[in-house]
Amino acid sequence: MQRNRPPSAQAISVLRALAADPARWRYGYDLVTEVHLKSGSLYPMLVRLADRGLLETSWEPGQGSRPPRHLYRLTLAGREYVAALPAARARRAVPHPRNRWNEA
Amino acid sequence: MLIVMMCLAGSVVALILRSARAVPAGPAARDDVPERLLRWAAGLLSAQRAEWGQAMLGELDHIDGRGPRWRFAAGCAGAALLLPPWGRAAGAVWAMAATAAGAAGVYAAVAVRYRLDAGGWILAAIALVFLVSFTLAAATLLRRPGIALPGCWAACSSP
Repeated sequence: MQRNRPPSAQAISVLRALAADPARWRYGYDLVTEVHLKSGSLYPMLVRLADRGLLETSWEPGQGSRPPRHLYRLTLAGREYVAALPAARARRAVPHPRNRWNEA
Repeated sequence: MLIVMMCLAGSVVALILRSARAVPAGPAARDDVPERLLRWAAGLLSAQRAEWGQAMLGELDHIDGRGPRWRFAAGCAGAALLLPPWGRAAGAVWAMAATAAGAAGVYAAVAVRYRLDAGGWILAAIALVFLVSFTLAAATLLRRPGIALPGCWAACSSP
Protein backbone atom coordinates (compact mmCIF):
# COMPACT_ATOMS: atom_id res chain seq x y z
CA MET A 1 0.00 0.00 0.00
CA GLN A 2 1.42 3.35 -1.00
CA ARG A 3 1.33 6.08 1.61
CA ASN A 4 0.65 9.62 0.50
CA ARG A 5 2.21 11.60 3.29
CA PRO A 6 2.45 15.35 2.87
CA PRO A 7 5.68 16.26 1.12
CA SER A 8 8.60 17.47 3.18
CA ALA A 9 10.03 20.96 2.90
CA GLN A 10 12.87 19.51 0.83
CA ALA A 11 10.44 17.81 -1.54
CA ILE A 12 8.57 21.07 -1.96
CA SER A 13 11.86 22.80 -2.76
CA VAL A 14 12.51 20.23 -5.48
CA LEU A 15 8.98 20.56 -6.82
CA ARG A 16 9.29 24.34 -6.96
CA ALA A 17 12.67 24.13 -8.67
CA LEU A 18 11.11 21.89 -11.31
CA ALA A 19 8.06 24.14 -11.55
CA ALA A 20 10.19 27.21 -12.30
CA ASP A 21 10.40 26.00 -15.89
CA PRO A 22 8.02 23.07 -16.08
CA ALA A 23 8.58 22.25 -19.74
CA ARG A 24 12.31 21.85 -19.31
CA TRP A 25 13.88 18.49 -18.61
CA ARG A 26 16.33 18.64 -15.71
CA TYR A 27 19.34 16.57 -14.72
CA GLY A 28 19.65 15.11 -11.25
CA TYR A 29 22.94 16.84 -10.50
CA ASP A 30 21.48 20.21 -11.55
CA LEU A 31 18.79 19.74 -8.92
CA VAL A 32 21.41 18.71 -6.36
CA THR A 33 23.28 21.98 -6.87
CA GLU A 34 20.22 24.19 -7.24
CA VAL A 35 18.29 22.96 -4.22
CA HIS A 36 21.44 22.30 -2.14
CA LEU A 37 20.49 18.74 -1.37
CA LYS A 38 22.75 15.75 -1.09
CA SER A 39 22.35 13.12 -3.77
CA GLY A 40 21.38 10.64 -1.05
CA SER A 41 18.38 12.81 -0.22
CA LEU A 42 17.44 13.84 -3.73
CA TYR A 43 17.16 10.48 -5.44
CA PRO A 44 14.80 8.84 -2.92
CA MET A 45 12.71 11.99 -3.20
CA LEU A 46 12.63 11.79 -6.99
CA VAL A 47 11.64 8.14 -6.74
CA ARG A 48 8.75 8.99 -4.42
CA LEU A 49 7.59 11.88 -6.60
CA ALA A 50 7.69 9.66 -9.68
CA ASP A 51 5.79 6.93 -7.81
CA ARG A 52 3.11 9.48 -6.95
CA GLY A 53 2.81 10.53 -10.57
CA LEU A 54 4.08 14.06 -9.94
CA LEU A 55 7.28 13.56 -11.88
CA GLU A 56 7.99 12.08 -15.28
CA THR A 57 11.33 10.74 -16.33
CA SER A 58 13.11 10.27 -19.60
CA TRP A 59 16.50 9.21 -20.88
CA GLU A 60 18.84 11.41 -22.82
CA PRO A 61 20.82 9.20 -25.19
CA GLY A 62 24.49 9.07 -24.40
CA GLN A 63 26.59 11.37 -26.51
CA GLY A 64 29.47 9.63 -28.16
CA SER A 65 30.63 6.95 -25.81
CA ARG A 66 29.03 8.44 -22.69
CA PRO A 67 26.22 6.63 -20.89
CA PRO A 68 22.61 7.85 -21.13
CA ARG A 69 21.45 10.41 -18.63
CA HIS A 70 18.19 10.48 -16.70
CA LEU A 71 15.96 13.54 -17.05
CA TYR A 72 13.14 14.81 -14.88
CA ARG A 73 10.24 17.22 -15.18
CA LEU A 74 6.85 17.70 -13.61
CA THR A 75 3.79 15.97 -14.98
CA LEU A 76 0.57 17.90 -15.39
CA ALA A 77 -0.51 16.51 -12.03
CA GLY A 78 2.78 17.71 -10.56
CA ARG A 79 2.26 21.22 -11.90
CA GLU A 80 -1.24 21.31 -10.50
CA TYR A 81 0.06 20.03 -7.20
CA VAL A 82 2.66 22.80 -6.97
CA ALA A 83 0.12 25.40 -7.99
CA ALA A 84 -2.17 24.21 -5.23
CA LEU A 85 0.49 24.39 -2.54
CA PRO A 86 -0.35 26.91 0.14
CA ALA A 87 1.86 29.98 0.02
CA ALA A 88 2.97 29.41 3.61
CA ARG A 89 4.30 25.94 2.79
CA ALA A 90 5.95 27.25 -0.31
CA ARG A 91 7.76 29.92 1.69
CA ARG A 92 8.87 27.40 4.29
CA ALA A 93 10.23 25.18 1.55
CA VAL A 94 12.98 27.63 0.68
CA PRO A 95 15.84 26.60 2.95
CA HIS A 96 17.48 29.25 5.05
CA PRO A 97 21.18 29.45 4.18
CA ARG A 98 22.10 28.74 7.80
CA ASN A 99 20.01 25.56 7.83
CA ARG A 100 21.05 24.17 4.49
CA TRP A 101 23.56 21.75 5.95
CA ASN A 102 20.96 20.39 8.33
CA GLU A 103 18.43 19.91 5.60
CA ALA A 104 20.76 18.37 3.07
CA MET B 1 49.22 -11.73 12.60
CA LEU B 2 50.42 -9.19 10.05
CA ILE B 3 50.02 -11.79 7.32
CA VAL B 4 46.47 -12.51 8.45
CA MET B 5 45.67 -8.79 8.41
CA MET B 6 47.17 -8.39 4.94
CA CYS B 7 45.26 -11.41 3.65
CA LEU B 8 42.00 -10.02 5.00
CA ALA B 9 42.69 -6.57 3.56
CA GLY B 10 43.58 -8.15 0.22
CA SER B 11 40.39 -10.18 0.27
CA VAL B 12 38.34 -7.06 0.89
CA VAL B 13 40.02 -5.22 -1.99
CA ALA B 14 39.57 -8.23 -4.25
CA LEU B 15 35.91 -8.47 -3.35
CA ILE B 16 35.35 -4.80 -4.11
CA LEU B 17 37.13 -5.13 -7.43
CA ARG B 18 35.18 -8.26 -8.26
CA SER B 19 31.79 -6.94 -7.20
CA ALA B 20 32.35 -3.76 -9.17
CA ARG B 21 32.25 -5.88 -12.30
CA ALA B 22 28.81 -7.24 -11.43
CA VAL B 23 26.97 -4.29 -13.00
CA PRO B 24 28.47 -3.75 -16.43
CA ALA B 25 30.24 -0.44 -16.79
CA GLY B 26 29.08 1.98 -19.43
CA PRO B 27 31.21 2.50 -22.48
CA ALA B 28 32.71 5.72 -21.10
CA ALA B 29 32.86 4.63 -17.50
CA ARG B 30 35.79 6.21 -15.68
CA ASP B 31 36.09 3.17 -13.47
CA ASP B 32 37.36 5.09 -10.47
CA VAL B 33 36.56 4.21 -6.88
CA PRO B 34 33.39 6.34 -6.58
CA GLU B 35 32.00 4.67 -9.68
CA ARG B 36 32.90 1.21 -8.41
CA LEU B 37 31.22 1.99 -5.11
CA LEU B 38 28.08 3.24 -6.82
CA ARG B 39 28.01 0.29 -9.24
CA TRP B 40 28.22 -2.06 -6.28
CA ALA B 41 25.37 -0.29 -4.49
CA ALA B 42 23.26 -0.05 -7.66
CA GLY B 43 23.60 -3.80 -8.01
CA LEU B 44 21.83 -4.22 -4.67
CA LEU B 45 18.71 -2.38 -5.84
CA SER B 46 15.59 -4.42 -6.47
CA ALA B 47 14.66 -5.04 -10.10
CA GLN B 48 11.85 -2.52 -9.68
CA ARG B 49 14.39 0.20 -8.89
CA ALA B 50 17.22 -0.88 -11.19
CA GLU B 51 16.54 2.01 -13.55
CA TRP B 52 17.33 4.45 -10.74
CA GLY B 53 20.69 2.84 -10.22
CA GLN B 54 21.49 3.40 -13.89
CA ALA B 55 20.27 7.00 -13.52
CA MET B 56 22.70 7.58 -10.66
CA LEU B 57 25.56 6.01 -12.61
CA GLY B 58 24.75 8.03 -15.72
CA GLU B 59 24.73 11.23 -13.68
CA LEU B 60 27.99 10.38 -11.94
CA ASP B 61 29.67 10.12 -15.32
CA HIS B 62 28.98 13.82 -15.89
CA ILE B 63 30.43 15.00 -12.59
CA ASP B 64 34.01 16.17 -12.55
CA GLY B 65 36.33 16.54 -9.61
CA ARG B 66 37.30 13.98 -7.02
CA GLY B 67 35.41 15.57 -4.12
CA PRO B 68 32.09 16.08 -5.91
CA ARG B 69 32.27 12.59 -7.40
CA TRP B 70 32.91 11.04 -4.00
CA ARG B 71 30.10 13.02 -2.36
CA PHE B 72 27.63 12.17 -5.11
CA ALA B 73 28.57 8.48 -5.21
CA ALA B 74 28.53 8.07 -1.44
CA GLY B 75 25.13 9.75 -1.14
CA CYS B 76 23.66 7.66 -3.94
CA ALA B 77 25.17 4.47 -2.54
CA GLY B 78 23.51 5.18 0.81
CA ALA B 79 20.23 5.90 -0.94
CA ALA B 80 20.50 2.68 -2.96
CA LEU B 81 20.96 0.68 0.24
CA LEU B 82 17.94 2.30 1.88
CA LEU B 83 15.59 2.72 -1.05
CA PRO B 84 12.45 0.60 -0.67
CA PRO B 85 11.42 -1.93 -1.72
CA TRP B 86 14.62 -3.66 -0.72
CA GLY B 87 15.96 -6.30 -3.01
CA ARG B 88 16.81 -9.58 -1.36
CA ALA B 89 20.49 -8.73 -1.55
CA ALA B 90 20.06 -5.34 0.17
CA GLY B 91 17.92 -6.91 2.90
CA ALA B 92 20.52 -9.60 3.43
CA VAL B 93 23.32 -7.01 3.54
CA TRP B 94 21.52 -5.11 6.27
CA ALA B 95 20.80 -8.31 8.18
CA MET B 96 24.45 -9.29 8.02
CA ALA B 97 25.61 -5.80 8.92
CA ALA B 98 23.32 -5.94 11.94
CA THR B 99 24.70 -9.36 12.87
CA ALA B 100 28.28 -8.12 12.49
CA ALA B 101 27.50 -4.99 14.54
CA GLY B 102 25.88 -7.16 17.20
CA ALA B 103 28.92 -9.43 17.34
CA ALA B 104 31.21 -6.40 17.62
CA GLY B 105 29.00 -5.04 20.39
CA VAL B 106 29.14 -8.31 22.31
CA TYR B 107 32.92 -8.37 21.95
CA ALA B 108 33.19 -4.77 23.15
CA ALA B 109 30.97 -5.53 26.14
CA VAL B 110 33.10 -8.55 27.03
CA ALA B 111 36.27 -6.48 26.58
CA VAL B 112 34.99 -3.79 28.94
CA ARG B 113 33.60 -6.28 31.46
CA TYR B 114 36.80 -8.34 31.69
CA ARG B 115 39.23 -5.47 31.00
CA LEU B 116 41.22 -6.93 28.15
CA ASP B 117 44.93 -6.19 27.89
CA ALA B 118 46.72 -5.00 24.74
CA GLY B 119 46.68 -8.49 23.22
CA GLY B 120 42.96 -8.67 23.75
CA TRP B 121 42.43 -5.38 21.92
CA ILE B 122 44.56 -6.57 19.02
CA LEU B 123 42.38 -9.65 18.81
CA ALA B 124 39.35 -7.38 18.95
CA ALA B 125 40.72 -5.38 16.01
CA ILE B 126 41.29 -8.60 14.06
CA ALA B 127 37.77 -9.73 14.87
CA LEU B 128 36.43 -6.39 13.65
CA VAL B 129 38.33 -6.66 10.37
CA PHE B 130 37.05 -10.22 10.04
CA LEU B 131 33.46 -9.11 10.61
CA VAL B 132 33.72 -6.35 8.03
CA SER B 133 35.30 -8.76 5.56
CA PHE B 134 32.58 -11.30 6.28
CA THR B 135 29.89 -8.73 5.60
CA LEU B 136 31.50 -7.60 2.34
CA ALA B 137 32.13 -11.14 1.18
CA ALA B 138 28.61 -12.24 1.96
CA ALA B 139 27.21 -9.12 0.28
CA THR B 140 29.14 -9.98 -2.85
CA LEU B 141 28.15 -13.63 -2.85
CA LEU B 142 24.50 -12.82 -2.23
CA ARG B 143 24.39 -11.02 -5.54
CA ARG B 144 25.37 -14.25 -7.21
CA PRO B 145 22.84 -16.76 -5.92
CA GLY B 146 23.86 -19.17 -8.65
CA ILE B 147 27.29 -19.35 -7.07
CA ALA B 148 26.51 -18.70 -3.44
CA LEU B 149 23.52 -20.96 -2.87
CA PRO B 150 25.06 -24.26 -4.02
CA GLY B 151 28.14 -23.44 -1.93
CA CYS B 152 26.05 -22.66 1.14
CA TRP B 153 24.00 -25.81 0.57
CA ALA B 154 27.13 -27.91 0.30
CA ALA B 155 28.60 -26.34 3.44
CA CYS B 156 25.40 -26.88 5.41
CA SER B 157 24.84 -30.43 4.26
CA SER B 158 28.43 -31.60 4.71
CA PRO B 159 28.95 -33.75 7.84
